[in-house]
Parts: sequence; C-alpha cells; structure tokens
Amino acid sequence: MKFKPLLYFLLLLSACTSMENAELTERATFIKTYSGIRGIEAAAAEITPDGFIVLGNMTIARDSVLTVVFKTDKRGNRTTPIHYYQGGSGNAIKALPNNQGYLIVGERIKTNPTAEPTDNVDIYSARMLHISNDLDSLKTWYLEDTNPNPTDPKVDYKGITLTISPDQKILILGTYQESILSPIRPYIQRYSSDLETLEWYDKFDLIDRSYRNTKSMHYVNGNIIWGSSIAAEQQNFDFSYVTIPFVQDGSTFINNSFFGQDVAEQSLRVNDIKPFFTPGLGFGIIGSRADSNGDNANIFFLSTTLNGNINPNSVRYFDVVLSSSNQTITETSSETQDYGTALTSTFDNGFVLAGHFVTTTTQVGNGLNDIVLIKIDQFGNSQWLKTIGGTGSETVSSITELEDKSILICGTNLVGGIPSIFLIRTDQNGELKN
Amino acid sequence: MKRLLLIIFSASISLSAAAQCAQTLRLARATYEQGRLHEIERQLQGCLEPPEKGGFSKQEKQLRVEALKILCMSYIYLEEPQKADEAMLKLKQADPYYRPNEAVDPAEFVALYKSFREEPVYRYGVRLGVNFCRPNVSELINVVELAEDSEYKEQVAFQFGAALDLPITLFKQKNKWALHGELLYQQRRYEINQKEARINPYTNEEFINKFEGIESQTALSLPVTLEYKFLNKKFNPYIALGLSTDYLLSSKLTAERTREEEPGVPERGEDLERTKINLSGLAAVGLKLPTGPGFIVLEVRYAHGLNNMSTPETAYANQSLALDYGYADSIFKLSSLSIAGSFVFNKHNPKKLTSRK
Repeated sequence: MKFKPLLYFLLLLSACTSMENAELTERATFIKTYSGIRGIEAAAAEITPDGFIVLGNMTIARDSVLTVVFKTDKRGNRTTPIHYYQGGSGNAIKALPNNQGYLIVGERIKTNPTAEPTDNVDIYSARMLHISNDLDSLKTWYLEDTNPNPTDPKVDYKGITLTISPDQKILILGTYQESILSPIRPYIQRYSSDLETLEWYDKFDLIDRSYRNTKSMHYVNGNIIWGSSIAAEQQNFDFSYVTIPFVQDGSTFINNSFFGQDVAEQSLRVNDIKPFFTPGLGFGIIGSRADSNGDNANIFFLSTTLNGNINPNSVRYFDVVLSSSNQTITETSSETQDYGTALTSTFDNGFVLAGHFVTTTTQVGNGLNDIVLIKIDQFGNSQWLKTIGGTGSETVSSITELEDKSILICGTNLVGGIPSIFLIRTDQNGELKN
Repeated sequence: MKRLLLIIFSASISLSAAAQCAQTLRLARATYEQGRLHEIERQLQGCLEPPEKGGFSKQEKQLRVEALKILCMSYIYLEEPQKADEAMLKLKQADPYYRPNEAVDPAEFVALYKSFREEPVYRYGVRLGVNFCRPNVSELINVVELAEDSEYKEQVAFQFGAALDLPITLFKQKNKWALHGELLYQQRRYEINQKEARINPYTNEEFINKFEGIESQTALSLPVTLEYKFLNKKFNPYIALGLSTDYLLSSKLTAERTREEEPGVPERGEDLERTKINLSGLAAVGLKLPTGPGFIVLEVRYAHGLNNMSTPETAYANQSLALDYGYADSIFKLSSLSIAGSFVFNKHNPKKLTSRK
C-alpha cells in the first residue's frame, strides 16, 4: 500500500499521447501539400461526393510527362495513393456521367528526331485518358497528326479543357497548330456520354491569329462558351486582347465579344471563366493585364452576359498593394507584379479571384510568388484581399467555392526547386482559423 | 601604524574576553553544582552579552548554549518561570538545533524545552534541475501525410530558481505536511520528427521526406505543491500534488526539411504563437536529506499541462512553416518530467507555545 501513490503517479505519466495515436483534426480549413516520386505540379482539383480529386503532372523530361491523380477526403487527407499515368500530361479533369469514372484531357509530346531545327521538332498530340472511380486507367486515345509522310509539317494538338453538357455529352476544347509558324487555333470535340462515339469535331479558323484559351469552358443553352486571349501579332501574346468565343453546339461562332483590342501596347491574358452563382447572370473572367514589356502586371476581372457579351463597366484591375484597402485602381496602377489565374463564383453572386504576385521585401509577401485571394461583389468591387505564401513560389491552378461556402484552392508550391501540389481550404473570408 | 596598533589591541582584548568567558562558564558550572543558584545570573551576565560587548564570541556558540542552559535551569529551580522562559528562548535562538538529552537533563528543563516551538517556520533555498518535455496532442494538424514513425521526442532542458517550504499541520499531523512554492526560470525543449513517404508504385521504392524541428521555450513558472511525508525515515520521503502557473517568455521552432534524393529546405528559426499563461497539474515524489542548517531535496516531478498551448486559430499562422517545411501546429498541452535538486535552509523563529484548552 505504501507504493499506491507511486502507482498513481506512473499512471499519470502514461497518459501522454504521441503523434502516432493523436486524434486527427476535424477542422474545416487546412493547408496540405503532396509530394510525388519527383516534383509534381498541380493542374486542377474537382469536387467528388466524398472529397476532392486532384490532377497534376510529373515532368521527367520535356517529352516525358506523367499525369498524376489522387483523391482526398473533405479535410484534404489522401484517400488513394498517388497514381501515375504514362503517356502525357493532364490539363483538366471531369467526372463522367453515369458513374463512369473521370476523363482527363491533356497532351503528349513526341520528339521528331528527323526534323530540322526550324521544323516542328516537338510533335504535340491531344490526349484523352479515361480512368475509373478507383483511378485505374481504362482507355487512352489521342488526337494526332496521322499523316504518314515524314516530310510534311506535323500538326500539333493540345487538349485544354472539357465540360459535360446537360444531356451528358462530353465536350473537349483544344488547340491545333498546323505548323510552327501557323496560328494556334481552337477546336472542339463532342463525344457521346459513353465516350464511344465522336459525334462532332470542328476547328475554328475564323481569324488568322493565335488563341490562348481559358482552363474552363461551359455549356449554356445549347452553346459553348470560353475565354481566349488573341495575339495581336502572330503568336506574340505580349500584344493581345480578350475575346469570348460563343459557339453553337455542333456549329460555328454565333458571338465573339472583344475587349482591349483597341489598345496596342498591352498584354491581356485570360485564364479562367466561371458562371455566376445564380444561373442566367452570365460569367466572370479573370486574367492578367501587363504592359507589352511585362511591367505593371495586374489581375483583371470582367463579366459577360449569358451569351458572352462583355460588360465594359465590369472591368476591374487589382494590385496586391494598391487594392489592399479595397480601392479601385486603373490598369496601369501597379506596385507589384500580379497575375490572375483562377476564379470561383460565390453564393452571394460575387467571385473570389485567385492568383499570385511577386513578393517584394519592402512591401508584402514571404518570398518569390505568393498567393493572392480577392473577394469581389457582383459588380466587381473588392471586399477583401488575403495573401498566403511561404518563402517558395506558390501559384494557383484552380479555386472552388464549396457547399459550406469555404474555398478550396489547388496549386503548385515550388520550394528548393522541387514542385509539390497543395490544397488549401479557407473559410469564406479567406482565413485558415478554424 | 596607529591603525595596526588599534587592531592588535582590539584582538588581544577579544581573546582575553573569550578566555575570560570560558573561565566564567567553568565557574558557573561549579556554582550550579554547589547549589548557589542565586549567583549564576550575575556570574554569566557579562558573557551572555553580544560578542562585541564582551560576551561569548561567535565561535563559542556551544559555550553560550551551555551557559544559557545553566542559567535556565537555575531559574527553574529558583521558581522564576518568566526568567526561565527568557533564558530558554535565548538558548533556542542561539542554537535552533539544540536538543536536550532526556536521559540526563532534568525533567523540568526538558519540559520547558518542549513548551517552545522546535520546527522551523519556513525553509528557503535554491533549486536546479533538468526537465524533459513532451506535447500531449489532442488534435493532430498535419500538412503532409505522416508516415508511421512520426513522433515527438523529449529533449533535456534546464531550470533553476528559488524555493520556499512552509511546514504546516494538517489533520492534526505535525511534521508531515508542507506547502511548497517555487519561482523558476524554465527552458523547455522537445523534438518533432515528421516523416512523409513518397512511394514509387512501379518499384515500391520508398523515398522519405523528413521534417526535423526543435521547439525551445522559456518560461517563468510558479509551482505550488502540498507535500506529504509518507514514511518516518531519516531521508524524509514525500509525495506532492499541486498546480503550476507558467508565463511563457518565448517560443521558437528551429526547423529543417530533408527530402531523399531531392534538395531539402535549409534550417531556419521561426517564432511561434503560443498561449502565454499556462496551467499544469503537478505530482511529485522526493526525498529530503537533512544536512547542516537545512535539507538537500531530490525530487522527480511530473507536470501535466491543463490548457492548450496552441489554438486552432494559430495552427497555420506561420505559413512559411506550412508551405516550406510541411509543418502545422497541432493542438497540444505540454507535459514535462523534471528531476531537480534543491538546498533549503531552515528558518527558525523560537516561540513559547500557548497550550490550547
């Protein structure tokens, strides 16, 4: 009995918990990073019934890129191993109808060893990869130049993005380039819901200029809408303007609204297009505006009507320093180099704009590129601005508002020269506090 | 020269006085034996003055004690209780560790002795020790997917400060209980090892990313315990329970990340946001070894953190740690095991005890 107190004391000691048996947090907001066998870069994240599916790429060499896919739960904890798929990169992923798994679009590069240096050495083919819900590879096919004559110029194809129509058709937006001096132009493919039949395929060569397309496309009342930058000089996007292609399903352009085509000395690069939360209000578009030499880069936002007409009054520019007090700035007002890369609509018909800025030691940021999130209202007025970043380079690939109004950001974190994928989930105010 | 002469003169007077008092004590001893009790007070009067006034020197403490004992006994037999009390009080002030020999000393003297407080009123001293800290994680917040052998490891840190003991009587038990308090400057250190596996699905080869961090804290700690001596042994074994209030002065994480077959992230120190005031429950076992004017105390103490040192709000407050090093602050309470030694001095304040009716 004399040792009874000592026994209690030892029991108290054993009550400690270590990392291994500690309860995993159930908090809503998080930062998660995911490392691959080698460096992996993010392309997009999509919502699944029980969490998220993340698409990325692992580059071994210029002509050897593996697509990377994994799933997580709603708290960002990986629920599958990281799957690596040979045969090319992935740019976008969507869940297929009827629980058929996922379709990834991207491209494959094959080097033509016999090509002259002035020829098209890297031959791109658009690549479609169908994977199951368990992430097993089911089918891969390519849109490629099948001309057997080795002396003929090879056409490049790249798969950019895809969407699913209300009648469960799969629509793919890509680009093609007939030779290295030709413009890069868009094409659209429509597949049946079971991916067995290519129902429609059209190339859009209305103007003799290169297009740089948004990472999203949408289906609206029998029409397809996306955003593009158009190079004012051949393939030189340092002089570029914005267009909103609006194409009838199975047909041609029925609308093509422009913005910035009258300003010669600027670069306008659109990166993403998303619909307003309330159907019928139209779309929001994000991109980067800079002088033709790349200076004074700012994030820009504009909105369109449902059929793609740009509302000129909606255009807003954002600079991470100048916009921190929610004031409106002009396109050339710039303290930091800011780039808009993705956006998501919010329940209040506003948007959260996401991008990155080059940090400056004297003003803002933690080093290299940091993430910037800007909440705007329906009319483009800034409501709050938040920055997130470490000493490495963080860039955003996609952003999505979730059911609970929290915000999921997917992107790439480059630290020590090695990229990894991150998922960040903030609350509706861009905070990581609960 | 004059100064030297003065010193020599004073020293010779002092030596002569000391020799005189020793002589006087012998005389008083004989006087007491002969029963001439009335003469003793006058005989010893001069020698019981302070040393600077010609009394026993500081080195002659035992002679002074004996003189006071003779004086006290003479007052007892002269039936002058008030004067006997005064003599006993002076005796105990001169030597708090004096104990009568019950087999030899007169019973009246022993009884008078026992009517005075024997125990020290408090003890004070210094404490020095080491501690080993470990977080008790209630909510694990991770940035990377942790491999199985991710762990916290205790690291040794130092602590030192002042200690105070207050012997108290509880449940009518004397010499069993003590209230103990300290004011400590504490370092705390622990290591965080997080591992993340990168698995090549084609070869099943595993590459490991490692996060190695050492969190170092400094704090002012104010622990208060109630000690209970559970065995009446010479080494005074005790157990103790209590509470500690700590004020965190600083908290810093030194972090490094290595990635197998890839460049790592160099070591860097980052300040952390932590709760400033923290409470801990304390449990301890120890020994008190009597030595000289006090005790050498050896103690093993477990401090169980009662409140969280980190909060959900600050888990990702340091974004560089999250994005560069793959580390987020989990929600934890900090517990520690300390081994410390202290030396406490007894502080006596002799006093006649009033008997309770």
